[in-house]
Amino acid sequence: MSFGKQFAKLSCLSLLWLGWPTYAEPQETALRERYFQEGEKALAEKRLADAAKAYEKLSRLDSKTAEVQAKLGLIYYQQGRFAEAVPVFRQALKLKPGLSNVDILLAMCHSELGHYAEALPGLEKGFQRPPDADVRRSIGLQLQRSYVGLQRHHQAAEVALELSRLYPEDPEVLYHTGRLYGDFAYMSMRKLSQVAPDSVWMHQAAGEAHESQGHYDLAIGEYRKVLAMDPGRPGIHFRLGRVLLARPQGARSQDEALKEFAQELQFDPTNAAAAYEAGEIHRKIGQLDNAQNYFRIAVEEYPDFEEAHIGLGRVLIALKQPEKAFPHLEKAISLNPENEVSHYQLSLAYKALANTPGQQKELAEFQRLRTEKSRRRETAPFRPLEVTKQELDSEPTQ
Amino acid sequence: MAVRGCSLLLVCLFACSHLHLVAQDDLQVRIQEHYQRGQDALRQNHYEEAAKEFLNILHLNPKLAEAHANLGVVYYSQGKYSEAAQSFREALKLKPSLSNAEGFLGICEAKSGQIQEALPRLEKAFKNTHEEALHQQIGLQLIEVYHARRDFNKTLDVLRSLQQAYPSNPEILYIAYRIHSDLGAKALSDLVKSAPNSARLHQVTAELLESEGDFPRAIEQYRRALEIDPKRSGIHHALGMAILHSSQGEASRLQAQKEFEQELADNPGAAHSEYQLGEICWLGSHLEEALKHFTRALELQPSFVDALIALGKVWISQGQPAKASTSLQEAVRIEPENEVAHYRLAQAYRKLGRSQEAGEEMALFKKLREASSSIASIYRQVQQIPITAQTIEASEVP
Repeated sequence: MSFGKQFAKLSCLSLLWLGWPTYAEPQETALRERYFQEGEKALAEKRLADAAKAYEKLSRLDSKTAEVQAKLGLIYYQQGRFAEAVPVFRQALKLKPGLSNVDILLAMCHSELGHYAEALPGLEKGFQRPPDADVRRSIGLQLQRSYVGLQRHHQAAEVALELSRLYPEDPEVLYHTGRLYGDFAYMSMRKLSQVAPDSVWMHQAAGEAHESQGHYDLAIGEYRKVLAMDPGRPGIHFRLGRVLLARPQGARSQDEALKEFAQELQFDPTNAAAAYEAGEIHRKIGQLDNAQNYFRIAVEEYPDFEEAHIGLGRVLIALKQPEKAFPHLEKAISLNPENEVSHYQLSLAYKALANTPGQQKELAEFQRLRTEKSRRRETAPFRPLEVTKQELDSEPTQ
Repeated sequence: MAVRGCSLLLVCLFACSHLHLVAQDDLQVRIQEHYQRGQDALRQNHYEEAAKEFLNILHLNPKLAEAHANLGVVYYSQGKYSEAAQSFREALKLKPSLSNAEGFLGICEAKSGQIQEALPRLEKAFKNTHEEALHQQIGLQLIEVYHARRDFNKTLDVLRSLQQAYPSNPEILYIAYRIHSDLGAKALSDLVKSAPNSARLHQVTAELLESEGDFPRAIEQYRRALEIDPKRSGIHHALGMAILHSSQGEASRLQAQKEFEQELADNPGAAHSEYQLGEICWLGSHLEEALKHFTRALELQPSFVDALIALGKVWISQGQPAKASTSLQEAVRIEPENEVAHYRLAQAYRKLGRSQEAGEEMALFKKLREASSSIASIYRQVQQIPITAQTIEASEVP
């Protein structure tokens, strides 16, 4: 997949040109001037094919001016004619080895053509000392691609991280980063399937892949295979519970899931996520004392567990102990001030204590966050949720 | 990522070896007996019993660092990380040079949430530990800590060290799969948030729909991406692929062909589109045309493995196995794990009468096919295939 068309700004790379050689015949000079003007006009009007034709004629007349060759190469580059751009850029560098930025353009052409080894020195240099930020992004994407092409995956990953840091909201960078890591994940899975096709790791990875694709029955099958091989394996009962909850099968799934969470806690009493999930099921079916116990385990094992603090807070409110809910809801807000649910629950705690100003303040914050959220259209379909998020059970009343 | 394999524990058990040398008096003999019983209990996973034996040793001699360390190992194997950390701390206080105790302590501290204390200890132990099993676990724990702190550079650094040191370790391959999946998911989630109406997001959505087999909606998403950015490289190509996947009928082929041609018009370096045009010609039995397209694709991208295989396929069908074998040998050189390349090369060798080499290639093909079929069904969403990969027809399978 070419990056060539994304780099219109490369045309601003400075290619200095100081004019025609003085020894040229006047008639020839006029012709050169004409082709030059034609080429420049076509470029200004974004007629790349016409610009290329004019510069091809110009370069035939004046094969010794490095800048003419470089400009022709740049036009070819913008047209995506990378194979034709390469010899032209090479000629430009031969005529004037220090010609600014031409080595970078040549490297980018090589990368487009899959000549990654040739591309690398120019791209590495260009990424370290870029002409400007826009061009750095383009060079970085090509560098990432070249490292992948040369199977130097760790360096590709480093470039991806650096690009994500430099351009955190750039769709092009994010897209290619996502693809790159996706490919690496696939490669790891592939190798795992070769070296240990029937290992617990392979079945666990397969279970997770099925789970992420919503193939819950297949995921359950894989997790059960893991447990058959290693019954006490930490985390698997938890995952099974999560998958059972995700299946659209109502109360039966909930009971089965609860059993899995309980079993997880038997093997690993420190698993805060399993305790939280068990607490959440008990809360939803109205078994508030059980819910409270599990949520307490969760926050003891993992004091920064935002969702567990919210769960515990709302259970305490339901148990008519709103004053005890405060520290948990405040802790949740300190961990994530942007969560509308914790503000709403805190408003309920204030209400239960007849603290109207506190209630109104938290309700206002809740409304603000809710409006913002709907405006942001917060959809994150690519990130599987690690635990059941705390939600508002029904539309809040005020 | 919990670590509780008995093999690890036995390997890492702290030997009270000097006891053998000095076991003259009754006290030393009793200590040695407890030590032996503790070891046996651990071997049989009788942790309570093992803990009792090491505690008995400590009653007899509270200054025995190895006994504290072994008690730590027992607690660790029970998932009692705080108690284990306390034992390892005690052991290190008595004998700071105690090999491996530092690494265990770091893991236990990390697992009980004492990240500040754990991190420098784990970093030091990762450099200094020579015991393989423990070194791996320290590395995996470091990855977990760095990942949780969103220090992705360091996460990948440690992952790289582990992959270099243990390239075929299933647990490390699994972690590599998880880390890369998470980073990929994060990039795509950031794309959703930062550019919800971008062409790239519509493209990602289309790719996900395609991976789920929902081609009509995928086509719709690609078209929306093109409405936003008609010249975005690669999208006409991807649209052509989705159309081909939706139906192999003549009308679809024609529609797809138009998209590949449009991609090439916008981006003459699009080797993948050139290749797809070759595939369409191949399917229509226009072999000469197919050859031209595949050859052109290779001019644009000389290391294009599927184009090399396709060229080999066409040469074989034209009765030119020598030419085919040249292309296919190059394909195998570039991508030794490509099963189709091995299969086609076997075909070419057979036609050249080189039966031994044909047999070797066929054996490699079978081995690779077995491994790939196990993951093909479970892992579709991450690996987007940008072209019609070269395959083997059902009728060809031996």
